[in-house]
Amino acid sequence: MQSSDFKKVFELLLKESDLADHGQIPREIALFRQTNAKRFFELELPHRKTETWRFTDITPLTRTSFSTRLSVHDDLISPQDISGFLYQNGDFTNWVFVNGRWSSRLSQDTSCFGVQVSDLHTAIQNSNGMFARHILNAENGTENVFSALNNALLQDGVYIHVPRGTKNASIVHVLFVTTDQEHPSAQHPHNIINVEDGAELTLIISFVHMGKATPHFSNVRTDFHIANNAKVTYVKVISDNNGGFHLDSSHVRIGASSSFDAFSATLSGKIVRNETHVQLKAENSTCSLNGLYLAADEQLVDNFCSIRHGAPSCQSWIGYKGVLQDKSRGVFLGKIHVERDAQKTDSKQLNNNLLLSDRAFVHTRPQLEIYADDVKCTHGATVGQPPDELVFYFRSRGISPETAKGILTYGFAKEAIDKVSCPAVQERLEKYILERFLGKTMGKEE
Amino acid sequence: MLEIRNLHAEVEGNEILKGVDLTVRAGEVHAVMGPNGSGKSTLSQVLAGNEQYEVTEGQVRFLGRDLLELPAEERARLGLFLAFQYPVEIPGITNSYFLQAALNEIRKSNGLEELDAVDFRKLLEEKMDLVAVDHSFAERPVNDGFSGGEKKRNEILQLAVLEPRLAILDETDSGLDIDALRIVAEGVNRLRTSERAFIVVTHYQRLLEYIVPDYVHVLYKGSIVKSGGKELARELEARGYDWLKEKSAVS
Repeated sequence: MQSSDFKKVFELLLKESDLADHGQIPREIALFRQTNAKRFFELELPHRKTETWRFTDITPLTRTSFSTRLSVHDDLISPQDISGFLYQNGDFTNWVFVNGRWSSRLSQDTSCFGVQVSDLHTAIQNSNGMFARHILNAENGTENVFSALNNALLQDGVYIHVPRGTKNASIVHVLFVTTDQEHPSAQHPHNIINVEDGAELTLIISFVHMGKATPHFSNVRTDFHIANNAKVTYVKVISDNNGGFHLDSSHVRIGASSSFDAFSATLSGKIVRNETHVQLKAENSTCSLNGLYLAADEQLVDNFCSIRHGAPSCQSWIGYKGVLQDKSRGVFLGKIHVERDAQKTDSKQLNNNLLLSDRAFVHTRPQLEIYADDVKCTHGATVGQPPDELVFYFRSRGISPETAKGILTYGFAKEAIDKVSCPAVQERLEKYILERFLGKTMGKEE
Repeated sequence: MLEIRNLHAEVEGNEILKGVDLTVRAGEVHAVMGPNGSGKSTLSQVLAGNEQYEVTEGQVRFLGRDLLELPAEERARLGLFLAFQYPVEIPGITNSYFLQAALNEIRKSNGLEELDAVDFRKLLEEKMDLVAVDHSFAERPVNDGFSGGEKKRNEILQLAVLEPRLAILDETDSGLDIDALRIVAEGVNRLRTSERAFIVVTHYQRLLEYIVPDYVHVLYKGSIVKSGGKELARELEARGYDWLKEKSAVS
């Protein structure tokens, strides 16, 4: 019954957004939205018996009555408010979205080199055949009710196109800011990233909330289309507040001899779920999904990584580390699927968890499904508290047990952050964990 | 400086130390030798404050304080140092970071100002030169991926930086080849002062060729069965421990 209430809100929203876009969007996209709207109402909301959501109870989300209004005001935010979240270095181009809508006013430094960036709205208005094809490809994964909702709304987001052979393009940083609204609000960004043959892209997407712990919901969908001999580095950072629900679903298709190197950092949020679905569609490509998740209080962080090896001689790696404090929960599901033709697959996955409290806990399930016979696949998981033996070593050097645990936690998290391929982001994350676990910037030299 | 009286300790209900007596004065080097399982490592761990070992009887006074009442970190701040037989690995934390944190905790509790990164770096480089370790040690994660010999040398570097009043070297020679042993011993010898005492725990006499002790004690079945000068170590090398075992069985 609660779920029907939850859906009713979005029924109104869908109607409103239909009216708003009436006649202004290509027919095939309108049709796509209608199909997905239908899916949204057909599909059940996840519950305890839904296999991939077994340990992720989203009733706090579905019980929240979200505002039906689409209007967004970005005028309460000044450029100074967000300057600390941007990357001011000249290599970056910053695109800012407020409550799910692109803000041309706040996206000051959008001049960029080599790469075409626009907001999804504009991209839809000027859409061509290729763009529509990419949108329609988002059909993948619509067994997810939230993805269906996102597709049905197709509100806004970022569209990035990296033309054939582009190298040394600007690093694209997309910042999604949410602000406190009168009623709990929702945003549904839909991002499409298209990287052509031989092109390279570094993309950073960050999510921040400015305000108090007002409930808000980010329902994010990001699609990557990576052609052949291409290289994509992607970092996503979620620093939501304690009222933030964040459901994030990324779909990645990789061509031949390409690489996709992703890092996902979840630093806070009430309920966060990151889904990453990768399809290795052609030979000799590599995919690495690394991540760090930190949870405290009663937060819940769920990471679901799935990699489908559909072609021979590809390599994949999944490495996620989690730190759980207080009464928080972590959920990890890693799925490597190796198809019959995907011989010479080389795949590893590892999930390590550090529990800093007796009341925190973790469900971890690294899984392998292999239909080829000539493959190398390993998987593993660890869950534990800082070992007494290590803590004693610190104490024998004059360091208190509390500080020892802080330093050990910092070291644990730093090992994950060392995998971030973009130095500016790595530095910022490192500073964050230093402050979070040690409360000061000790021992750093410039 | 250190007075151990009738020390009894057990781990998981097994009594390991059965009445150890030992007195160490400033500037002295004491060797504690003994066969495997005699309680040498237990003695080291108990003095350092490892809570896995339970002291059931006896007293230990260190610099006028009741050592057994203090948690491990306060013993270290007071000037006690243990070079571990099996130093742990700490991934993600550099030696430099670890040692700066430790030194500043010790300085703070002794009423000294904390060292900033620049001053600490200077000190660390001096100490690395003093004990002949490569400067690359500074930015490597503590013991992570270190060879056995490197780990032992890293313990001596920590000793040099933290400048304790009493250093216990627990089987620092184990797993070292002869060259590494000499480097480690030379490092230790450079750290000998009239203010600082050492307890060198070892199974073999070999290390004592390089770190020459003032006193040698034989620990057997949890108590000290014989004490003497440095010549006792040579005698043990020549005769083994069996003659002492027989002697202790008779008494």
